[in-house]
Amino acid sequence: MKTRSTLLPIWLLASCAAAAAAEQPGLSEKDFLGEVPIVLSVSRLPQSLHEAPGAVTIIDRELIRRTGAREIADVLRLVPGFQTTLARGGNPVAAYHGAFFDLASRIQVLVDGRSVYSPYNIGTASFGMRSVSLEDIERIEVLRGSNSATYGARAVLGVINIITRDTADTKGAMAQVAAGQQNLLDGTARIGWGNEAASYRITVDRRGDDGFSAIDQNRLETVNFRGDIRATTRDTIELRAGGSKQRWNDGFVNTPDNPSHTRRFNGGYLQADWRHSASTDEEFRLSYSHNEERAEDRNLAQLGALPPFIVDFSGDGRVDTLEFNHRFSANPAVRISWGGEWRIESARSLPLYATDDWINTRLARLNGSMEWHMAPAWILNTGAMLEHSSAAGSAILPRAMVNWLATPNHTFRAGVSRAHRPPSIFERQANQRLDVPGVGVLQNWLATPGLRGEKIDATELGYYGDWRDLQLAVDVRAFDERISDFIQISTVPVPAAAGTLNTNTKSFINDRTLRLHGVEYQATWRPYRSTQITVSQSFVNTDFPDDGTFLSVPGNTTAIVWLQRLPQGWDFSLTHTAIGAMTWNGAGNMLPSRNRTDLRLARAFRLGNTQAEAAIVVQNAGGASPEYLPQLEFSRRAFAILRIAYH
Amino acid sequence: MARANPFAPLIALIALIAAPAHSTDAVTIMLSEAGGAYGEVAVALRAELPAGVVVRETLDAPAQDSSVKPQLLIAIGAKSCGTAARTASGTLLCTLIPKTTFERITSDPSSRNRTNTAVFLDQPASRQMALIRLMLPSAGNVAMLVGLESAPSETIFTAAAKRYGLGTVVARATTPDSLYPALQTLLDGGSSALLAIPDSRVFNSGTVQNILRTSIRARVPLFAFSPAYVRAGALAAVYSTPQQIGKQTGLLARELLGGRPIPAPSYPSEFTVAV
Repeated sequence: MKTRSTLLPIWLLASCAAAAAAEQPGLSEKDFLGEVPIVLSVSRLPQSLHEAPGAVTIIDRELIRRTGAREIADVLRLVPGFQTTLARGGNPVAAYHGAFFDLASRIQVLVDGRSVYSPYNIGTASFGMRSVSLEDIERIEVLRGSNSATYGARAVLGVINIITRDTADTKGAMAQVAAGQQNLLDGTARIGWGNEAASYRITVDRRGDDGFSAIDQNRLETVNFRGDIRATTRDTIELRAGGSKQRWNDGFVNTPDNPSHTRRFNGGYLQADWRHSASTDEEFRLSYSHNEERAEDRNLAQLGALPPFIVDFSGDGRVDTLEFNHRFSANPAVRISWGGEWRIESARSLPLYATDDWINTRLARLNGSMEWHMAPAWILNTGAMLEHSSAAGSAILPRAMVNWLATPNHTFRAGVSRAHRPPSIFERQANQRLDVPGVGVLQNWLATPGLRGEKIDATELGYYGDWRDLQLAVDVRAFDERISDFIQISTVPVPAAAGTLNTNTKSFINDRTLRLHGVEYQATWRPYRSTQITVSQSFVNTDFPDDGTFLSVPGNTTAIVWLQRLPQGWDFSLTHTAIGAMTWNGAGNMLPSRNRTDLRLARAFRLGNTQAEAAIVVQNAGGASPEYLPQLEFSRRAFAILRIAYH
Repeated sequence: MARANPFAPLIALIALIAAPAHSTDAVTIMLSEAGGAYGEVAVALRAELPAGVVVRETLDAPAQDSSVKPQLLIAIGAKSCGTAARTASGTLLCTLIPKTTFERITSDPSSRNRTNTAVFLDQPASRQMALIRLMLPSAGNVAMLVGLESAPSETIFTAAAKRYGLGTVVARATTPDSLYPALQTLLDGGSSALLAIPDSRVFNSGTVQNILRTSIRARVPLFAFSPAYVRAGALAAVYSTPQQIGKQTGLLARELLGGRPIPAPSYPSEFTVAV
């Protein structure tokens, strides 16, 4: 048959072809047609701000550097709706839609996915925000609005997601020094190394200045390590560890019941993440983290005719979490993300809780969210969290947001959500008894049993528009937030059996329902490539009672940022904020409306083989203004920064 | 392994019997592999051929059946093009093949077939530069990472860039170790875009992840040659689908059968842009 005679030449042909193939370099149509097997998970970035299920403000590292910020609180003041303060100078605080007792307990703050909530005392994220060096931040995503459905408890009014730079971007050496008035001295040094398979960095940071009154010297030292290991083309392991030590002063001279004393806060953490990218659209993540902290806050107080006695708010805290998340596309129109977390938050403080045992709060949560492109111009983002905490039982926290992409450049949003905040360990278990030697015991704080968690119901309407030919982008958010079972400080009678010197003591009770509504917007305009102007404002109405605790939400705030690149490597920025009257600490400490203007002028240049930048920053250029308390003055201060980087 | 379609001789026999006495146009289509993109090209191609043409489809090797001399041999893919160039005679039309690969095959001394043309799979440099210019009106420089396979095309791309008012910054990655350092220096230079020029040693499954990641971090958008890259994170790609290639090949085959003199190899005329 013909077949046989054809076989021989084919055989020869085959071996020739095989030999030829061995010599042929690889380029063929397969390079064009094949799937790219492993892909990037840029999971943190919303597809575009038009599709983001809420009002998002992104602060990138360029903004942080160009505004001369020393603290995260310095840049958060530029986000509409935020109130921030440097407090005594070395213990900055940030809050959204209301400070309440000066602790950032109603926003969730994450650093690379790890919550930096501190279980000690009332529970705050202020300390955790300082544990990261600003030089290591890639960007900060601020989600304005509650999102417990994704972020769990405490994402009551907002979520701040601090994302650090990939170690592949921070290779080489970098050092930065800032020095100036009020004995301001900051230093950062970083070294990064590695290759495509694994890269690492270690950053040490020190910040310090004299604060806002003669006794407010403050110091912060941090060290942070991060390693990114690309174990296979699909798997990445990220390791993080670090520690921080802060000290600052509190109290006042000549104030016997709150004398000047030093407070310290030391913390450390470890975090390990495993990410597995199954494909472009699917990723699985497993995370473990461990945080430890120790706070020292002890002074000798005197009240009236009583002998001096020790007032101690010291304690230890610990948080352990194990979290997993799975993200995938169910079909081209539906993306799903779901996961769970187990978490144990513990605090131990003999002076605060009258016991030497660890007090634990256990949280377990399961959450899921779905992004459904219902129609070409309609996206539904919906999700819910089922959370159980030993502090407040179970809760189902749903959220839904609809985006209508009316035109490719204009999107309208509408959404509802429910969030909650379980009471902190201090709010549930406080039992602070102060021993007045030779006289008796004063009950300073006593928790009321049966305290319920707070529930927040929020409705919002939003708009995001992009005028390409005008180079203008505008985001508007109108909101109505209702906090029910608001936990507030109150005076309650002390049980007679306690045998204390006082009959009434401070406690926490679920009290009123608070309502906030208003509108905030942010507009960014880039008239030229070298110029960027951002204006943000917020207008908030509250039905809060007139007693001072509740006057912590200023009626209006304005922030203007002007970034301008100049020729020859010069760079200029101006940031101006105006904030309405408010208090951080009760009716007696009402602050008038205040302005703050910061200026920065910098020049980039080369120093041998390195890239360098020198800058001068003036904070509060407009002159002194009260900060945090009426008697503290934030006077104008200038400092110079020199930064050198070697790759 | 190359294997002739076992039914090929039989089909040829039937065709001979069935065909009218005068000579009929015969076309042999060789696929590098069964199915997939190759099959799609073949289907689109056949739709354009005139009625009455005898079409034989084989997997890789042409049947050595001297009773039927195909007027036109269409090779889909680099593998079948290489095989056809070495063994067959008659007009050869290679399709679904990158330009540099085609040129390498036909200039190889073992290539016997001298009458050949092609429909390339890659896009002309000017089209790629036009896309960059369209998407980034204020772009200044285009960065290109060039390897051993793409080096010969470098001047063509530089010239095309110039026509669109774009400068070029080129880094050469000749060894696997030099790839990432070259890429890093390239991206530090302040280019507006990174253009991927097909080169299997530079852009392959082992390197793509890092190249994409590095370019995204450097805020330099990547313009690629395949929609898979766009799904992975590249800003845009201009490419031609197998259907578009097949259709163009079929139309060209039709003209060749109609007596048109064999033209020079050409780039695809129809293309798609993915963003």
